[in-house]
Amino acid sequence: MSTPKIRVPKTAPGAFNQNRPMPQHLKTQVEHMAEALKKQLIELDYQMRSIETEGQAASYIKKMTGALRALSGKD
Amino acid sequence: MPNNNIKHIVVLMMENRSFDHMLGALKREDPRINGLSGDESNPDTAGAEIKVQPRAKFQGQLDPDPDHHFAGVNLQLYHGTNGPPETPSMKGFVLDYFKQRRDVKHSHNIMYYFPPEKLPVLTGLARSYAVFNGWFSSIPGPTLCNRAFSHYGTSFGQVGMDVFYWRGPYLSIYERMANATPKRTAKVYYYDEHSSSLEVANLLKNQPQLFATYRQFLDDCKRGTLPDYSYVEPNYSDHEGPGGEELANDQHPDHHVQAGEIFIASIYNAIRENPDLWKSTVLLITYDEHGGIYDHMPPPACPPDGFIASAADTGTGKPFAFDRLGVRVPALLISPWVPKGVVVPGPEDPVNGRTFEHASIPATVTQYFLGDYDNRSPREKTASTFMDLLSDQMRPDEDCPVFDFE
Repeated sequence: MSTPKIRVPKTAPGAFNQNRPMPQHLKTQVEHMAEALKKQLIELDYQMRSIETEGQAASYIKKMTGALRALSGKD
Repeated sequence: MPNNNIKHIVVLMMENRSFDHMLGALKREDPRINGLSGDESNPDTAGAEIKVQPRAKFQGQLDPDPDHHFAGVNLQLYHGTNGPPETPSMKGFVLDYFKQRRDVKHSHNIMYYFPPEKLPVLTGLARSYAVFNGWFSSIPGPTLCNRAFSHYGTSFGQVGMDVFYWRGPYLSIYERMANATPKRTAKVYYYDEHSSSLEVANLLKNQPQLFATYRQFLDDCKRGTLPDYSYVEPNYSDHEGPGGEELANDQHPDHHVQAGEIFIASIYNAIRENPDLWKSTVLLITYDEHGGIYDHMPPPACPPDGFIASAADTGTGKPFAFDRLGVRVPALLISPWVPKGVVVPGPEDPVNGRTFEHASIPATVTQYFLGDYDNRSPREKTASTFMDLLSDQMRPDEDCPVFDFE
């Protein structure tokens, strides 16, 4: 006896629509991410003010370099 | 006795479809399934009784997105009654949908359901494995608070879509797994960087190692490197990806339902096609909430959660003690250890019926992988778990279908 197969139809052409108005859950997702980043920036600003040594500066710069690369989207 | 062959639990949570809308038609071929008889109805604003009909479309029918905020769902559930603690009438779905477009004919669309042949993936899996008659969303409200129950076993008092932040004292299931001794593994697989994780952005910020993409999920399935627990999120938006057009596949109205069928099939096939993974994995597929779409089954009461949402937050003029569940959603349990054609009875069966909700997810994963774990919400501690539904007989390969993509 062979394994039963269930056919899965393709999606009809024309279903893709990037211009559909943003639903509530995506709006919330956008706000949530902005809020999370805002908190992170406040934290980074606070850390920057407490840097005194070369080692602390290097560690901070490494963190910022990674963040800047990620934000540029050109990693 | 739990089935000790299982090494992986995978959960896929889709978006915004009710049980009756997706699976209700199966009652005609299997009367054990608590679906639709065809006589269920809701009044419309013109005074007509509108019956359920098998006329659901893949796209274009539920635009605007049906209301599923707490106050709207309250109307859907309690129209014609004095409200809780009375039993919900389930008679206000058409009236609530009418409010959004003020079009009587269009408001009837909320009563439409899919005939089984239009959803070969979901109904094929329901016929082949286990379907829950009594899996309910955790709150009669929208996405975020319901998804929170699947991550934390509570929504920390939230009933809405406010920006959600963990505020303790309970940890997410992923953190519990990562902190365990011996260490356990868990991952949230979101679709891609454009879709990302819908709710746990704070977790993404603090513990990015807990996250990966759908492509990585497929690769982990192929290599046999899935973590102990995986939570898969669909694609929430139509967008351009590196490979071209990426169609939203979450099935949230008005996204194309067939795209979600393809996504569900791809998750199943990825597990099914690795023989070692297949025999050691259980897959749960469910939906976060009903999305404002009709279901006939009144949601039952449940133990309170220890939080109270204020009257202002609920928008109903009354506070909410998280002591009753939201509308019923589709839920399927899939594994070669699940006997064919299981129907898990729900509250319609007063003797053998069992009630599940999204807190059942962290409850099951915690119980199975971590054992005793006290720091959990009252709702999670009392939630039903599902690993006992597995048998000790593994079904042969030729008894378990695979999906063949057109």
